[in-house]
Amino acid sequence: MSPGEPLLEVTNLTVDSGSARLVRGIGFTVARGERVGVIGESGSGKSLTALACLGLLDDGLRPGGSVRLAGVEFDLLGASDRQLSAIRGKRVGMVFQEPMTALNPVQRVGSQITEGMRLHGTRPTRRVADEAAVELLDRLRLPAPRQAARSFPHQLSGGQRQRGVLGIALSNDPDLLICDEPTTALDVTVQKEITDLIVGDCEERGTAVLFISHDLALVSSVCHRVLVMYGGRIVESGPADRVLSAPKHPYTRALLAACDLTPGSRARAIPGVVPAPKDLPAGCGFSNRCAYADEQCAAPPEPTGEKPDDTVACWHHDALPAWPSAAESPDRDRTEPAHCGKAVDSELLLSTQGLTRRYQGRRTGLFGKRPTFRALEPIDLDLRAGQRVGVVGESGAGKSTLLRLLAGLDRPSDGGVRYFGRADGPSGGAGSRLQVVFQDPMGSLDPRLRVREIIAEPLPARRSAAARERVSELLTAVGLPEEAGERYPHQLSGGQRQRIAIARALAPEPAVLLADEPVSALDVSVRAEVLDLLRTATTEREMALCVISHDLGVIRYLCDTVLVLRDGRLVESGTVESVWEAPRHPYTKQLLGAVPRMRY
Amino acid sequence: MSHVVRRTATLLVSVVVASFVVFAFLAVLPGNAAEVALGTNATPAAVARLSREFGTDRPLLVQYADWAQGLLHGDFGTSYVTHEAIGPRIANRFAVTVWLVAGGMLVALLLALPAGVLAAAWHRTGRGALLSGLSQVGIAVPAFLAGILLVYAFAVRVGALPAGGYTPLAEDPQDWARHLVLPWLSLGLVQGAVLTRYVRSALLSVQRQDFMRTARAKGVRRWAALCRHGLPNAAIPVVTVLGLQLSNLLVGAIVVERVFVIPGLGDLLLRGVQDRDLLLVQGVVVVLVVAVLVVNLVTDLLYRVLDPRLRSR
Amino acid sequence: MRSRATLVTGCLIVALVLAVAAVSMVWTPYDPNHVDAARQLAGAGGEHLLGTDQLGRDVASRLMVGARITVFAGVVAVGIALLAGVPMGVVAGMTGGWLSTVIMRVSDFLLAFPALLLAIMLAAVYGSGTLTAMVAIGIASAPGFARVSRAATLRVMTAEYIDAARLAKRGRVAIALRHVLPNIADIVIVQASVSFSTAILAEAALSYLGLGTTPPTPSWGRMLQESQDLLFSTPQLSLWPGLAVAATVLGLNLLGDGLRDRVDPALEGVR
Repeated sequence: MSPGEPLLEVTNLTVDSGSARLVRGIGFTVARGERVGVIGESGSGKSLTALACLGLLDDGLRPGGSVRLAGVEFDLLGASDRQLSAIRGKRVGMVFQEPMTALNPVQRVGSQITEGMRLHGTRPTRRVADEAAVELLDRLRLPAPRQAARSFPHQLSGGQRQRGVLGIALSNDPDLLICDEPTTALDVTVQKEITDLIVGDCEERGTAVLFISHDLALVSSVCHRVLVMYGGRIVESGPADRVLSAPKHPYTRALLAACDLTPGSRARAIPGVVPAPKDLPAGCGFSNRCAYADEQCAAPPEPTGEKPDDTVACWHHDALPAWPSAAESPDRDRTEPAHCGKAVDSELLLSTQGLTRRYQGRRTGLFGKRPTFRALEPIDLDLRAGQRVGVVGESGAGKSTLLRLLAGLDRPSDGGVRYFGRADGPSGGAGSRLQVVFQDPMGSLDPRLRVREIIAEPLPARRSAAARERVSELLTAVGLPEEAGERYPHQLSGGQRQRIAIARALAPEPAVLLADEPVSALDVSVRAEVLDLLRTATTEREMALCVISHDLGVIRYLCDTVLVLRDGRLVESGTVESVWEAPRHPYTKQLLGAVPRMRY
Repeated sequence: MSHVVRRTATLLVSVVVASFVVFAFLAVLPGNAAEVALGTNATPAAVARLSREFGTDRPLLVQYADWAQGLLHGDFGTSYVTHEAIGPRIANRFAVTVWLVAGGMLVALLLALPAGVLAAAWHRTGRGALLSGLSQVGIAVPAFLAGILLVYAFAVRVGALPAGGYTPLAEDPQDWARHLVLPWLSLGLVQGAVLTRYVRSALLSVQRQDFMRTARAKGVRRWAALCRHGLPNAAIPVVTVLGLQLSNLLVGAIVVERVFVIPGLGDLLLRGVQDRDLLLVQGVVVVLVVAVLVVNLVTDLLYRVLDPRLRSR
Repeated sequence: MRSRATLVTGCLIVALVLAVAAVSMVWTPYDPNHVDAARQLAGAGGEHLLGTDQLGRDVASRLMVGARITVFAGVVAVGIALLAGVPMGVVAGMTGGWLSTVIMRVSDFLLAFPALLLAIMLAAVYGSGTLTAMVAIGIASAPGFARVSRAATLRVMTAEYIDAARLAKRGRVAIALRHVLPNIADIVIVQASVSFSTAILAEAALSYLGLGTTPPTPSWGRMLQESQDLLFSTPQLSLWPGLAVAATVLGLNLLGDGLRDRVDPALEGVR
């Protein structure tokens, strides 16, 4: 094969379901040793693209176009299962999003890795393969690799499992590694370890990577080149630095603006929602949400550019204002209400004394004692009127436990919460002066009730005319039309559902609003609008806000005080600025260091 | 290990409670054993005398303790109606029913495993739809109706197999099998149809799991992935169903024994009901309930062997 | 698309059985119990649509009344199981703790008594009859409802909208009625359609054994038993009631499958 030949060449790839075209003719190449990122929100077709390349699409989906791999004389798209099986796992390895479910639960990790080696004959005997698997796990920096190889997946942590999945993908030294959101389900610190590992190992062995993610910063830290997908098309492609520092397509620009959660400014969401594939505009897929769209956009724009690997598909890319333009970048002139962050002497709304939660594990033996573990070590904290506190931590840090205790949804094992200066226990105390916005906007709205009934639930007289009026008022306040009240939750988009959850929480005019990962289930482009709503709604009403999140950016955007939790223990607290500028605890430093930053 | 001990302890408690429930339930029968034995014209004095003789005038718990103690030694008592010892009768019949159920289960498995795998592999094609349609029809046919249909087809039309009756295995193995073929089929076809659907749905939901994609992505062929990664995972829910099915077969055997005039436990039970032979009914019901409990225990333990996630607990 | 066809076919069959059962209350072609010695074993067609049995009774009329018995049996059994099982399951799922343990232990224990066995025991004590048989089937089916509704309740209780309702100061009963029951209803309905067909099969089996519906009331299972001896001479007598049982059960199962796909669209085509 010639040295200039690309490793992977995708031409005019389409994916059709029975009713709609999900990937609408895309083309790109991956050179040997090159790391190419695919950026897109849910429904952009990025995962389908990866699956189509290996012939792993679900039965109902039909691919079209062509996918060529260097050194393979046939087109991968038309190939038989036998032909493709010889390539999968040998020339191309794949890592999936969910480490929890990507491994066979009834087979030991080691034998899942050796299966591929023995199948492709790279290490044909069992002894050799077993040894190679342990070496591979060691190379992937899994502590105690020999023991890990003998473990079943459920005995390993998320990060360890993802290393196992990576081991399967790399077991035959492939030329190309396809990673589909490999770290989305993992904690930030683990995410950093895994991406460092992928970059390091592939760099060393000259493995090319196709890296799919919705996280712009992550992609920019991993890849040489990026492709931005929207509505089943590549809207922009080019070197990572260029695309992220000088984006040409209105969608890329809007996405970058939506991700920019600079504190003290107003984030800009992309208007509208990502349409379902069958509702996409005929021409440019983004035209119905684009500020620059005109009649010309009714025809699909071709990717154009000086070089074939630096393109943009937009009729108006030359006419756009210089980036960052005032209209697209976050609104930095917004004035902050005066009392924010300075609420030291205001009314004490909520305070905890030695708040602790222990759980009992399962009995180990017939007469064995039940082991207990502490989900939350004793914690003292105060929440005053107008204060905005963020609680940050990774999985198992105890942040959800804390929220449930504060909300009175769970009973503390020790200590207690004083609400509004009274200590009358979790059941009676909070009343409707404390409300919660939950993580999953689908799960927090009863699918059997209409939006109007959902919002009215915490109101005293739910069927009264006053309640009706209040609901209409709230709908307007969260930016939804009056008609939305007659709908059911499933008829609304994720962002709209979260708005309704916020409206419900605001209904009884609470003094304290708790928010549990309020945007982690949402797409990047709608994240900003929900954060903004939370921010304005609470400041206008002078509510105290307590936000729980794994995402430091969200905390930094919404809060003025931050608490860092780890393994149920409070390790650091302080104002957002001080913790950001000068973290004291090593864990906080590690956490801040692990957050992927935009490289531009 | 502790789990095995704990489950076995639970089983023993369940057996005691179940036997007591059965006993108490039948002891409250309107018209006590003595009245039944003497007929409607008996004098109260005669009834009282016989009650004393049977021991049915004693308190319920004492009677139960007496009966249960006998059970432990395999002594099921002596029938008030036929005056025969019940234990040996149950023992004889039990072997017949076990053969019937085992054969039925075997037929069901031989039918359902391939049919279920094929139905899952073909689930979007016409062949797959045909297989699920057939299993759907199979489920709708009660075992006794299947029996009648089979008798009509093979005994009446073809005339190749007997329409009923039974020859003990020890007497003539070939004749034994000839008599059992149709009963096996009538139990097995129906349960096989049910099982087919479970195997299919278990495999289909496993097929959608991410690890199946991982397997395919490492180069395992479609069918190999289904067998090597799909089946071991699908086996976990299927085993639970197998346990339930074995219980169903045990009870289904009662009806099929009637269709084919097979002298099994079911036949004995129905005769007991007909003659109002309480002790006999009690004995057979306890044997059947204990069998169901044991099957449940075995299923539960097997479930843990198959699923490493449960093993470590 | 296939699931829609399943649902429609199921509905049609079930509706037909219900309609026949309803009509039989006001009209049948002949008195189903009228013995006509002159017209024994008449063939199909002619004056008697489906012929007559060995006592000269009109088969079509008996089948119609049998449909009524079948529907009655299913309604009684499912009704008992539903009323006993669902509250047990919901309470167990919502409360947890010892109450839940007790409820689930009792229902596990009941599972050791298969429906037919329980029915035979009841028949031994109280004599045979449709109602006795169906009470037994109902009791035996209740644990199934308890388990299904407990599992569904547990799932609903983990949903955040329950937490939201608690924050809105809703009481337990209000949460059960307003949030839990509507959200488990579809799963319970699926279970009911499955139990209905189980009950019908059990009624047929019991009547076949002579422990269910007592003569002369015609029941499909009983008709099968009466016709079995004539299998060599007039097999069609077994055909009609057999077909009726199988078709009804098939219809209910199709209905259940179709509903299940509706309940959980992700499962479409899986079952």
